[in-house]
Amino acid sequence: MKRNLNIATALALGVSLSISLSAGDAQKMVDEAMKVDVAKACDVKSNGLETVVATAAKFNPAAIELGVEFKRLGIRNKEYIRGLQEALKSKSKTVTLHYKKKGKEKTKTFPVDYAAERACKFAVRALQQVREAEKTWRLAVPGDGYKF
Amino acid sequence: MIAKAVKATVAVMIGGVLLNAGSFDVQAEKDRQALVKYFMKKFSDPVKNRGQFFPYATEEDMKNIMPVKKVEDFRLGSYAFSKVGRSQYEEINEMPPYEDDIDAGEELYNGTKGIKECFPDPAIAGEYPKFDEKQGKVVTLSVAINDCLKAHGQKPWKLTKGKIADLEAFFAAKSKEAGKKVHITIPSKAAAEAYERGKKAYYAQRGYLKLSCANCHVQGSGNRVRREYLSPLLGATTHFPVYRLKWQGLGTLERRIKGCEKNQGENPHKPGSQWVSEILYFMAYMSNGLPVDGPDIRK
Amino acid sequence: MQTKKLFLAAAVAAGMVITASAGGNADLVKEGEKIFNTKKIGNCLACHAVNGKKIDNPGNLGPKLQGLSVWPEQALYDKIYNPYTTNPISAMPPFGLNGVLSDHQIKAVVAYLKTIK
Repeated sequence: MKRNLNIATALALGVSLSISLSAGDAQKMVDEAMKVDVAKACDVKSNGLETVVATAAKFNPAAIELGVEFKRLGIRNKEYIRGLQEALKSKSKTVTLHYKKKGKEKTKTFPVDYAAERACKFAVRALQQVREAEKTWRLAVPGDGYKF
Repeated sequence: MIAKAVKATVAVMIGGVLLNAGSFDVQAEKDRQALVKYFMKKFSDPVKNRGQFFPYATEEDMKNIMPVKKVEDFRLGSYAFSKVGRSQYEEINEMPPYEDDIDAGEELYNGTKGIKECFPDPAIAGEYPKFDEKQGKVVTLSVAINDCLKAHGQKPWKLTKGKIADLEAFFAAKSKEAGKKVHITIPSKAAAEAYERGKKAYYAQRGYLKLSCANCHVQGSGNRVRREYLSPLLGATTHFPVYRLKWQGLGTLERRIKGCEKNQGENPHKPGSQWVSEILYFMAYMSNGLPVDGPDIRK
Repeated sequence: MQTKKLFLAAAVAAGMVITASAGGNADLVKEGEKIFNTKKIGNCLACHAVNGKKIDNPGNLGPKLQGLSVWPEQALYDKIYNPYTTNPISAMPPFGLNGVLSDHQIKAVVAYLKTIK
């Protein structure tokens, strides 16, 4: 019985440890995102498509981990990124995104440059907003930072 | 003698509860009182407060927004202050579209294995979300129902609509009938921490629109997005499950929160997740003392 | 009398210049108007009414837009790109910073806003 308990504790510890570790990694990505100027880093003309898509792919997993991933009109940012990576392979000028809305399969097509800039900004900004909110959330709380 | 002892025990118990509650819900109680003060001030005299709270309202808006005199009225959401909204609401409620759902919920209550044992008193809608000390986490009514089903060897239900909403409609109707009020407790340090996380989530700006829940439902409440008046945080959880005309059916708090996150431009958290349960815990606490008013209808 | 005539001539000339520039801009203004009024693009009407223009049920979370024709283009652009420089808990989204609207789309909205008296 005691042994079982120990195993259970060890398991529980392991689980919580792995969660906090990955959350810690995500926090590190927030730190890194704070150094990024999206106006520059997400500009396809000056950086090239591949670099901009890579930036999006680098930051978005942390946004997912922290529960702050952007989604616009039914399309998650990870779906933008997946579509863009396929477009890079096929050297297509457009990107067709497949997504589900209310259980129905849907597609939407964008010019690659447009979608890449959006995916990059979505990924980085989601993380930057986490840090921004740390400073601003209390300003909206009546009786705390919000005076009326 | 025995009676005396019982009395003393009861007194100690009450004292204990008060003491406990007093020690962990101090901040939450402060927050709640400030929120009540905010909404009562904002809507006590909309014409007088126009410059401060409704700076971009049109003349038509000012004719439509009624003063709110009683805190309880906020259970009506934006119908507490929108004249036009209120009259449409009253019209639809003459033939409530959720009556059949309450009946279906009663059948589920009586006919589903385990449910009666888990919820011997169905008038408990106002007590959820609850901090479950054993599990060390917040449990919404929807989650509690599913936990019960699982404990009795049954498949859990969808957390957003369908059977779970029907059963909750029955619970809410029974609670309303019994005159129950929202009564959310914060029994421990862990519960207080969960409340704080929920509060922070509510006030943090998120999504590609960089909107917090509060942007619309605290500071923005009483103002409009297109034609729709934004409802107040105070009272927001009192009338669930809710029949929305937009949904053409009943939905739980979990379903509604998902919609809000979508509107902010964020991939919604999973219903039943810690994040969703904790934000609902905070929201429900803000409505403490208001009457349970579910199920009800909304646009 | 003569001054009046001169003034008139000048006004006509100036008017021509304005018309000419508006003509070159017309497509951009039209595009901006569409972005402003379309829910799935800019959705500006969700919060803003517009002075002198017919908008289909505009919201009032933000101010009614007026007198924007005298704003410098850059100031309008910056406001749409990221309004958080003044109010940290503003309800207005940072359309450019957050990748909702592209540089070209914001310029189109600015062209439209410049027509608001």
